[in-house]
Amino acid sequence: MSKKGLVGFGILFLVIVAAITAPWISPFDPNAQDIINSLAAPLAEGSEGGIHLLGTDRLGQDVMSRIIYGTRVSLTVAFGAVGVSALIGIPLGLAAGFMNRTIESLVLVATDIVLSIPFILLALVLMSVLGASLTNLIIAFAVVRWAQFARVTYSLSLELREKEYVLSCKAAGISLPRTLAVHVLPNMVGPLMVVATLELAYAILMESGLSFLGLGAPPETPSWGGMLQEGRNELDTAWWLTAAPGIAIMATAIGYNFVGDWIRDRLDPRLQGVLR
Amino acid sequence: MNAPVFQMRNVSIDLDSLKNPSRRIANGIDLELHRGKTLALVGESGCGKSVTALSAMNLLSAPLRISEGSILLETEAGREDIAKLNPSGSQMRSIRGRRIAMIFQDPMTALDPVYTVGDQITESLCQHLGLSRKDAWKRAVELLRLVGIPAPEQRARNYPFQLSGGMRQRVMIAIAIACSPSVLIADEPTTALDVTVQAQILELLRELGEDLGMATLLITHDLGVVAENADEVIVMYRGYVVEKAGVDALFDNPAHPYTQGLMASLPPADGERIELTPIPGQVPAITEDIVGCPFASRCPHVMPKCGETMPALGAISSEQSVACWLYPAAAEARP
Repeated sequence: MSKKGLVGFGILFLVIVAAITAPWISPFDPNAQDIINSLAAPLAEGSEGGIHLLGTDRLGQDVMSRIIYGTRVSLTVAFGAVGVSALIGIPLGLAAGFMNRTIESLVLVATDIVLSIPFILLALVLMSVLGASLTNLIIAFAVVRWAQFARVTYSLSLELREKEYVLSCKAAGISLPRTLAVHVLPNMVGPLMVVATLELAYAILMESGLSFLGLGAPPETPSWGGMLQEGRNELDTAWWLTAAPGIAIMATAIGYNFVGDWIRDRLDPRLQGVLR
Repeated sequence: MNAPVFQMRNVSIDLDSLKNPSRRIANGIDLELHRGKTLALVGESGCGKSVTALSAMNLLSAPLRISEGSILLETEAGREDIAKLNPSGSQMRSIRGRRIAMIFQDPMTALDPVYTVGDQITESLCQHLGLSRKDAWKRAVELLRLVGIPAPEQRARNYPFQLSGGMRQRVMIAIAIACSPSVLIADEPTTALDVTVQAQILELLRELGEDLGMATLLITHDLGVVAENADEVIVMYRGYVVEKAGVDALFDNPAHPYTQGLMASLPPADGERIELTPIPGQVPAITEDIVGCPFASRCPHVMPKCGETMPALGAISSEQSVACWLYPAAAEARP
C-alpha cells in the first residue's frame, strides 16, 4: 500500500475508533462544566483532578473530550449524508443512462440546476427552514450532492451500455432491472467508491461550515464546527479553542481524500505496475 | 425440405431521425432457417447485416424499428410472430435466450468481467429453465465440456480475463446453447479471433448445430467462412438482398454483379500471386437517397433501367435467385 493510502486509512481508523470508544477514552464528560477552570490552557490541571490535555472552553468543558465526541457527529453526518446522496443519485443516474430520452434529459437538467446553485447558500436556506439537527444536516447534504452521484453514474452508464455484455444480457432475455443490478452496478463500484470518499471529505467540511454558521448540529451536541464557532470570540486569548477542532477537521478531510486517491490508483490497471 | 423453424417475411427496418423520419435501411428481407442448417448472411460493413440480426431477435431500439413484415418463430405452441411482440416485454424476454440465442462478435467484451464464467452460464439456466443453483452449475460444467473446454470443473470457476480469446468464445457459445434454443444467431463470431482458432470455433458451431438440431444464422463478411460452413447464402448490399443461393451454386456461378465482384476480389485458393480485382467505388452512404438499384453506381453492367427501379429477387435456377436486370427472364420490378 502506498504511504498516502496508509496515512489515509490510519486517520480514518483513529477517527472511527475514537467515535466508538468515546465514553471510555474521553478524560472528562464532554458537557461537564468546570467554571473555575474556564479557558484553561492546554495541559492545565482540572479542579477535580485530571489534566485538560487541550485546555478548556469558556464554560470550562474539556476540549479534548469534546473533540473525541465530535467524531461521532462528524462520522454520522458524513456517512449518513453520503449514503443518502448515493441512494438517490445512483438510481437516477442509471435511469438516465438506460431508460428513455425524456428521463435522461430530466435527470441531466435537474443535476445541472442543482450543481449550479452555490452549495452553502442552498444548504443554509434548507437548514434555516428545517431547523438545526443532525437528520436535517444529512437531508440538506443529500438534496444537493445526489447530483454528483447521478452525474458520475450517468457517464459510467454511457460507457457500459455500449458494452457487449449488456447487450448480450438483453439477448439472453434478462430483464433490465436485473441487468442493471447484477451486471452494470458491480462494474461501477470502483469509480463510485472514489466519488463517495471525496464526498465524505466534502460532507465533513459542510457539517463544520454549517455548524460554524450556527445552523449545523444543535449546540448541546459537541461538534467540531460548533466548537470552532464558539472559539472564534476567544481567538486572541485562547487559540486552542479553534486550533484543535480546526486541525481535526483538516486531518479527517485529508484522510478521506488520501483513501479516495488510493482506491482510484488501486483500481486503475495502468497504475498497478507503478505501485507494486 | 422441412418447414422452416424461423422465417423473416418481407421485413423492412427504418431509421427515424429528427430530420428524416423513416429512412429505410433494410428493404423487404426474406429469409428462412431450417433445423441443423446454416444460413450465411454476407455483405460489407454497413449493408444491414447486423440490424437484420438484431431485428431477428426483436432487439432493435430507437431510432431503429421494424416497420414492415413478420418474423415467424416455430414453437411447441405453434407459430408466433415476434415482430408483433413488445420488444421489452416479458413475452419477448422469455423467447430471447430460450428460443433464439445470439453470439456476439467480441468475446473480450461480451462477458461480464466481474463474474466467473460458470456463474454467467447458470444465470440464463436459472432465468429460463428455473433450475436450482446447484443443478444449473452442474449443467454449466457439462456445457463447458460440450463446447470443448478442457477441465471444465476448474474453468467454470475462472473469470473471463483468465481465459484466452478462443476459450471465451467457447464460453459465449456455451451460454448461447444453454437453454437449447432452436435458432442461433452468430454475428461475426470469429472476427476477433486469430485464424486457427476461427476454424475451430466455426467447426464447433457447425457440429453443435447439426447435433442439437439448431438453425444457425451466420453473419460474416468473410467468404472463406461462408464456403466452409454455410448451407445457404444470402448476399446483402445496402439494405437489399441481392442474391440468395445454395453455397455451391453461389461459388460456382455467382449471378449478381456484386457477388461476382466479391468473388473476383478474393485471392485464389491455390496460392498463386495475382493482382486482385477490387470493386470500384464505395457503398453509397446510408443518408443518400437512391432511386433504382443501389449497386448501379459501381456496376460494370449498368443499364439505364437500373437507375429507375430496383428489381425483386427472381429465381434463375431451383436453388438460386437474384435481384438484377441482367436476368430479364427472372427480374421483375419490386412491388
